[in-house]
Amino acid sequence: MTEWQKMGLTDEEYRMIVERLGREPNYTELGMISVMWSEHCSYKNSKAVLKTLPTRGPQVLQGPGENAGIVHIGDGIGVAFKIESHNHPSAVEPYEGAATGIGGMLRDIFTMGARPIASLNALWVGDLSSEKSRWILDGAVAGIAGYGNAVGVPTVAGCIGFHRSYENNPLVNAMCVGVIRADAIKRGVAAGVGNSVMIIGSSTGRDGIHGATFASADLTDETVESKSAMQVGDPFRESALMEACLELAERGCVVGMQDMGAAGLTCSTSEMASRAGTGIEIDVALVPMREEGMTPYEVMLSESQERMLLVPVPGREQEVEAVLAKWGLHAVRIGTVTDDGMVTVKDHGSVVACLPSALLTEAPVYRRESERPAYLDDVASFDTSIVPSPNAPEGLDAALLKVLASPNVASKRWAYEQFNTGAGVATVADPGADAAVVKVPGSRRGIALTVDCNSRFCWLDPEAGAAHAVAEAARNLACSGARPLAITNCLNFGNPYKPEVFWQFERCARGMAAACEALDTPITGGNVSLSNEDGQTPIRPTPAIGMLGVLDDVSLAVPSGFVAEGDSIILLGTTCDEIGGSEYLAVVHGIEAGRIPRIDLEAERRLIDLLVAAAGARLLRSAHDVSDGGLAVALAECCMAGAIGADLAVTGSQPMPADRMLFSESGARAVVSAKPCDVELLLQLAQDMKVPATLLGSTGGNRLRVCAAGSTDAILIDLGLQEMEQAYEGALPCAMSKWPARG
Amino acid sequence: MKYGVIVFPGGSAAPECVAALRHLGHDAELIWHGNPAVDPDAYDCLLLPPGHSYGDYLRPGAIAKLSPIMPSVQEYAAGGGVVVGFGNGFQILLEAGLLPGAMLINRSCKYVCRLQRIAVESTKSALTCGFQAADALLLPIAHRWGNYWVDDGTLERMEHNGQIVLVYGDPEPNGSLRGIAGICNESGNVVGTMAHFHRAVFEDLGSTDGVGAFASIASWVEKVRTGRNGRSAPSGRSEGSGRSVRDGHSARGGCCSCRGCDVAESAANMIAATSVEGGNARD
Amino acid sequence: MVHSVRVFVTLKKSVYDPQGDAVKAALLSDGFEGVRSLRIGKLIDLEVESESREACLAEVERMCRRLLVNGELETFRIQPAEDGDGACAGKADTCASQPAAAAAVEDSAR
Repeated sequence: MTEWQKMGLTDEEYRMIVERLGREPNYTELGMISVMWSEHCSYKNSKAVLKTLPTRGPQVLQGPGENAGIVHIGDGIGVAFKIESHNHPSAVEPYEGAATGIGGMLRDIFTMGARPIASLNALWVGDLSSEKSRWILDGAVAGIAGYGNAVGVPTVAGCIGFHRSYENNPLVNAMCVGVIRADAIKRGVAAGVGNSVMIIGSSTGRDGIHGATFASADLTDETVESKSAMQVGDPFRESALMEACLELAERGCVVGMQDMGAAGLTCSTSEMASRAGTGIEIDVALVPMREEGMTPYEVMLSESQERMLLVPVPGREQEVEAVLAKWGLHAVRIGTVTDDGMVTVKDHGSVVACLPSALLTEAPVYRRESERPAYLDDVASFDTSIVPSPNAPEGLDAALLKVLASPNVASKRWAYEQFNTGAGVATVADPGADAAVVKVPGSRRGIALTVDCNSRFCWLDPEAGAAHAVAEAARNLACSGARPLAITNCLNFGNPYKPEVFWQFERCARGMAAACEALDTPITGGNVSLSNEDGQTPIRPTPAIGMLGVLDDVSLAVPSGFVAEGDSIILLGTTCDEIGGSEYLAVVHGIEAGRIPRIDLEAERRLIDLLVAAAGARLLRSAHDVSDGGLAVALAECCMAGAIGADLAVTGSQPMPADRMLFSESGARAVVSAKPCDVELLLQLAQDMKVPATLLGSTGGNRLRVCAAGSTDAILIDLGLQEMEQAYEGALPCAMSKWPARG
Repeated sequence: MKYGVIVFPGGSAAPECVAALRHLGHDAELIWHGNPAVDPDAYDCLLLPPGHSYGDYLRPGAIAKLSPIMPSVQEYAAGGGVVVGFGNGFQILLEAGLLPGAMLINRSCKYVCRLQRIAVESTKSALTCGFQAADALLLPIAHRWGNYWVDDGTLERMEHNGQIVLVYGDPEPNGSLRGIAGICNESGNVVGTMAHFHRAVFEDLGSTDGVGAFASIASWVEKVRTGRNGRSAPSGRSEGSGRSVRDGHSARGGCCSCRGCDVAESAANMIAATSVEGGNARD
Repeated sequence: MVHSVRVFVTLKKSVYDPQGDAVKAALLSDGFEGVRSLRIGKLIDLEVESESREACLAEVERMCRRLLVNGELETFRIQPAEDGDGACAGKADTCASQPAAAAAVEDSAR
């Protein structure tokens, strides 16, 4: 293998480099280019597709291209948010992989000058019967808890999905949200020729060298073996760094600032220079190091955590040093902003690397081959009408309990009770709710947050599945009373050099784009993680959607579960006969196939508008969207959350077997409850806004009783709260009890 | 009432404590841990907040106990001043020897964050004197090292003296000896608990069972004041001297000009501005 | 002169060790049937500049009582390296069998 091949570059890419440089690069330069041209840093295989995504809107203050996206929520307040993956490291060392994922996200937020106020996470692991999957889940959750809790930023929401395709390729996506005055946003620009360039934060070691390259390759035994020292996070230093950076921003000391994550110094110098159209010259000998004998190559590629690159306002370098010293961190001038458009690296005064920043930040853009996967012919054509409906009520009761106990649906309390959800005394909604609601400091507003993706839907129909993911996220926010505003996405896929995988990626992007347009939720940034496969099996397409919404008055937030006896229960939207791709079909019948529920973006839009309007008019006592597990699960969840039973009658868009009514995962639906005196108004509002609304029944008692509309003798479901809770709350703790707790 | 809330590096919950106290109508000021001199007459109560001081490195609270401010906290307590620690604050008081016993990792070895049933066992302490014994409270807890331990002999003495002030209800969260959730010293003026009382005072965030604790502290302080004949009330509020946070510091000869308090102060103000009600102005 | 010292910190016998228990359960269920007991402690490696080995050990003992060890829960043992040797790290066996280990300082039960 040639030197460049070892670093992940193709022969063709090497030829391009030599041509653009006009000479061969030296070893250090080759290292720098290889990390910047890795998929993780350059998006070379995904850029062409990403360009098709909608990124604009009047609410967008900062779109893709910076460290985080920022949205205006009113009153001159900006909310910065971003999601990113840390998949490959988490497969090898789940605790530190997840911990450093959170760390990186926090830095991406506070580097913009925004104070982080909430974190979310989206995890996908293999089947819980596998010890490896339990090990990974245990470690990842502990890592998120250990790091996030110690930094003091509440982890408020998340999602966990399970499927054997993630067994060797778990997904750990971390999302962070912060607030900033709209006029105080800091950007990653090395502006002002002659300005100092400083490195601030922790010292530099040999951690994670070529981490970006590792993240861009399949996870085979070889790649794991050749990996360098794992990056280890230090939440204590991170919280100090956060306070220091926010203080610097507040004092007005900052011209430009960027955190160091993947590709460390190489990435921050080249990106800051490219954005500003300037150059940067640094001397690695000046970088505070915690190991001896580090070479320039190592210093430039190190991914040591908790470091930032800073261009201070001229003359205020000493002030920067003083602030960082107070917080116990380094602040050292290592170089200067130049006007030559180059990234020049010196070692004790001698030049060891000199590359145009554009060469580093402008990797080639590829359009990979794309081909519809063969498996789709089998699964999509499956005829669900042959699936028998269990008898009522015993069979349906058993089916519901089985779905409630399925890890994808079951309560995630085992995980979220490890997160400090209440830090900052601003978290309004329970962690188990549809969306987290967080008070915005200094304002009466609140933001609602959610992250999710149904990867089974995306596997069965990438385009519609991705649209469903966006719609479901928006529904989650609307159920809490918030108006959806914008998205950050983490696109997790397999090896893009496989045409079937690239086809999935393209179609998902198409579905996402359509939904974002229809629902007015532009994409402000995010991350692409490709090559999530072990050399053979790719993961299911998993476009994780992190969505942000706003409540103009946080006191309008609506809980998910029933709140009182005697309230009326209403279904908004229509249930159709479409159990294809449902959790019920998978868990009760062992089938993962069929056409997934059709996606009707106009209906989704109308439902969202209705939910927001009804919340604003204080007509809703509770609202919960219907998704995984269908109507039966949504009703069960509402009952368990409020510890109140319900008596209802259900019907579908047309006559259909009972299990279709109860378990179809048709979109554009929500289960709401209202005081009886408000029902008429609510139904009228629904009619005006063209959303189908059906009165189902009332809350009360301690059982969930569902019968078929029109024949109250035909009992479909009759389960006690306790029974349901045992299944729903017991599933994850029971499965995870087989793995010992980490010390 | 004037509270001094101590800010330790990594002690992230100081601003939310200040916000909670102000929400209840009290004065609350941040004191940087590097400040070696706390004026005992300036505060009615010192609060050590939850968080992860020094990243919980070595043992939670271990490094914080060596902070420059701790000797004067010791003095303040020895003089009868009220010192309260929540969460990490409790851990620091234990490490510093201001309270007996020590903390182990939770029995599950996992962090636990939830609303927890907690019962008042003794009304002897400054934190619980306003409750009735056996009062049942619902309070947030959030910790990984809340498994309280103390040797048998000391436990017996503590029980005899009414120093076990709070105990966990079912289901217990961490394996604590005797389900102990909070204790006090022999004279009742130093109290530590894993319960986050300050998080249970906002109407829109769930439980408000925490309010009674702050009322207890206020009545305790009042009793101490009226009990001291001829001594001018150490109300902690400077009359007419126009002292700001900074001035107050320098008058006590200890402000380190680090602006650490300023940062936490503005965070506290931000949190307070979102509170639904400002609370009634009280003494 | 720089002395290398190791401090072993363990929970007192009377104190329950939740982590040790959890790890023992894992080993047992992994097939290591013979494990009767497992307790987890800490190892702290120090390099201390001091006039003499005696002064160094005395200082490290003070460090233990002041910060490194929680006297309520934990007990400790200090183990110096031979004078002039490098740090013990990586030479656990030799450390334990060194004659100098006889001079190790033990924390008496409190």
